[in-house]
Amino acid sequence: MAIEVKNVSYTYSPKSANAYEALTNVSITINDGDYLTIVGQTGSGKSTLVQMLNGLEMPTLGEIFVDGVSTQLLCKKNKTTKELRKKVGLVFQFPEYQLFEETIVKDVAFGLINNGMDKEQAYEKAKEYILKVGLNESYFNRSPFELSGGERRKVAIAGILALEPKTLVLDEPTAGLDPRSKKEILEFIKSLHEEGRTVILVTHNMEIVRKYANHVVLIDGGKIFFDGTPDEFFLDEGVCKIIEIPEVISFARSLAKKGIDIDINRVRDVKTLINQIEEWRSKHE
Amino acid sequence: MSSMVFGRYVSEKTFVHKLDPRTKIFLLILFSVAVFLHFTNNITSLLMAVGYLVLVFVLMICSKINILELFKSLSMMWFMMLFLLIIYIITPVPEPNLPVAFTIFGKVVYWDVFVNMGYIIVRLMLLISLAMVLTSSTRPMDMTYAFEWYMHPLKVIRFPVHEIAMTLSIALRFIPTLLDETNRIMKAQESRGADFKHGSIFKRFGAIISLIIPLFVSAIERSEQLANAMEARGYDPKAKRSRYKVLKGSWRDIVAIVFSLLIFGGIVFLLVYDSHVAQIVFF
Amino acid sequence: MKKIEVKNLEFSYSNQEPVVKGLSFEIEAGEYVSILGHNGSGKSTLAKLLMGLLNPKAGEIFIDGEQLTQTSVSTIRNKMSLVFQNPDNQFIGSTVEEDVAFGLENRQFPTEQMHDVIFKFLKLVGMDRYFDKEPSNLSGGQKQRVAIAGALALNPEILILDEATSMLDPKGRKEINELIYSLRKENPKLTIISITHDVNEALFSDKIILVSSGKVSKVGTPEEIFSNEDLILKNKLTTPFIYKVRKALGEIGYDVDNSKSLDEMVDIVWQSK
Repeated sequence: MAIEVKNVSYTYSPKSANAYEALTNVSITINDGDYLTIVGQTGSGKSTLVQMLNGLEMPTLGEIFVDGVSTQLLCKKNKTTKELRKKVGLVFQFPEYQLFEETIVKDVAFGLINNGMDKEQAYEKAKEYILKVGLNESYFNRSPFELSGGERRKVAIAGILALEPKTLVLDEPTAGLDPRSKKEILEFIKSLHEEGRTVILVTHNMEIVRKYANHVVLIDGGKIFFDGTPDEFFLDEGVCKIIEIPEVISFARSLAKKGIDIDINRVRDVKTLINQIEEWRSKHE
Repeated sequence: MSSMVFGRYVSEKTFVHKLDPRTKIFLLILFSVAVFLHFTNNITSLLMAVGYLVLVFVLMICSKINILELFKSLSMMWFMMLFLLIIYIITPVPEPNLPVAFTIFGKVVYWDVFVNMGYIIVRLMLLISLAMVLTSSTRPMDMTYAFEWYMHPLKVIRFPVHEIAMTLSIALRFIPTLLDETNRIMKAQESRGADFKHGSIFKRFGAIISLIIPLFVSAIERSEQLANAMEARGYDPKAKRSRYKVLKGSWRDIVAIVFSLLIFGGIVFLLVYDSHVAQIVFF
Repeated sequence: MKKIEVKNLEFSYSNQEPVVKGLSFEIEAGEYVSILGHNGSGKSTLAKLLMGLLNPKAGEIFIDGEQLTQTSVSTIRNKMSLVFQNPDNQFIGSTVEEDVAFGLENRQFPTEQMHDVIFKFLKLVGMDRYFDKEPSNLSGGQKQRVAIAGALALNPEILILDEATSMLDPKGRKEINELIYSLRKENPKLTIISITHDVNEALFSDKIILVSSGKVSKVGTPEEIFSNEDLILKNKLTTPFIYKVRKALGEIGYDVDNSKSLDEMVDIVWQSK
């Protein structure tokens, strides 16, 4: 088991008049090799949760274990959270806004140098990861500020990937991108998952849950509302009251409601749905 | 997310909150002057100090300000007190026939040093409390309106009063937004191993650069978009504009001003007849 | 006379590649038009050109037959309101009511009548209860609703939405789309131009202007645009779900060519058994 969140609560500005509990008694077990999607409405506490996974925030109550070691302990021992950050890499929402160096190579190497790697080595590694996110050599010495939004985001992701974390956490990696860039980023994340990394992805996009994830957690009002597989998720009556489920699922549901035999578990996209309609039709002919 | 900041505006519906910001600024200036009026007689000074303190506390209670909050902020003044004490001790005293408190490192320390220091601290405390009453009972935006009103006469000499007031109000409007942004970029860089709290100065400098550049880039981007949005909604700094929120005085302002002027008049009266009062107290 | 007429519009930022190259289209009064294209197609530049915030390098823009020039820009701008993409960077007032007031103040709207107008439009967008809230206490969707109230309070003939929903979460997006829908019903004379890359938003417009690499690649109804798969693919867009399903059902022999909604298709499938 890679990460275990145990009875975690988080309160903003505790003890003050405007104390506000963002998370209440949250427990999740994330296994090695999981593709976990964390969903929920804005302000539900999901961003706070992922920030705790790499030690940017510490739980007010409860504990988080990464590879069996509590995050509090990891951070206390080294005075810093570097150890933890090597295990869990976090890509923030709109990460393109964190770029600042003159060249892309330098920017990607920033984290490596912070972790004590020497410059030459760090630049080499940075180049490797720039290529990996799908940008070519011509980008190495360009300024990050002249790139398009989608390209900048890839550079930012490369900056975290270069740290080679075993678990990669991404907070809404597709927000604000057009369909093409969205697809590129998602396919890339999928390839990282296939390489054996644990992926944790915060999203509003239910298509991602349907297409890529094997584990989904829904947070509502700071509490876990659902924890299970995507199949169970889309069958859950309560879930669709909180969030919008993909059109293909809701269409499959209305077909099923009419009395057409559709197994929602097997609906992935339009094609798989149509196959089931054909099956049903041939049974009735 | 930001915790309570000293003197931050707290929405209430008290008499003080409902006062016109122009009145409040005027009264703040009036009482600041009063607090620093110098009485030659020690006993009058003492009585006045006590009087002011009572007045300020009543004011703070009236405007529902958390007095504990004030004391917390005053704790920052210890350092200043120490500094003042040292200055006082090393400055030569013009009249060496004052009562001596003690001698330290061969230097004579007079009781007067402590008395004077006490007065300065009380005065600063009064000023801080008064300013706090103003800032926590007045919305920042109303303050800029009042500022614009007071600066109005400067328009004659082509001083860009309106532009400055508009800039100020937009700056105020964007403070929380930029604070959130700072917080976010800091965390993002921390997750890339930047360390803002530990390490050598050189390393920390690098971390701060990684915060400042993105912050500037985004602030410039914001200002561009903001300028477009303002222009699209017909804003022209040169043109005449009407006003939605017009500052309007009410009976409250008259009451507050009359009452304050009476007190101020009394103080001036006391100042003039300082020695007479001292006699009354003595006999 | 056309409400908006754009002829051979060209634009480039300083010395860079032109982002708008020879763009021409027409929009009728009261139409709800989507200008659809992927990021970088030049569609956001177009919004600024229409509003006179940028000056074209070549070409002409006519609003109600009057050409947009340096001298006519201020009168023409009075006919138009623009809602931008970023909810934070167009919130100018310190509170909701003061933000709506900002545009009115610029037009020297009489102070005594302002309160009523502000609250009328805040009510319209469902934000009247939040009149004294500061922007930091509002969600993205709420801020955009305030921006729309501020835009409508200026009584425009043309409302331009420049990617107004692209930075919102699904809930915020739904709020804004529902608001636009009710606006059209209530005020059929208002010309609405929605600049977007979201095909699901364009689905409900009267007309779609497909923009690609700074040029108009096709103008048509949603039906004409979305049933043409090659066109969608070429423009780096995705086909809306309803069209995907319709095509797939058609391929396995269901007669759904005239279905306007998913519910109709469910019925057709059910009745065919």
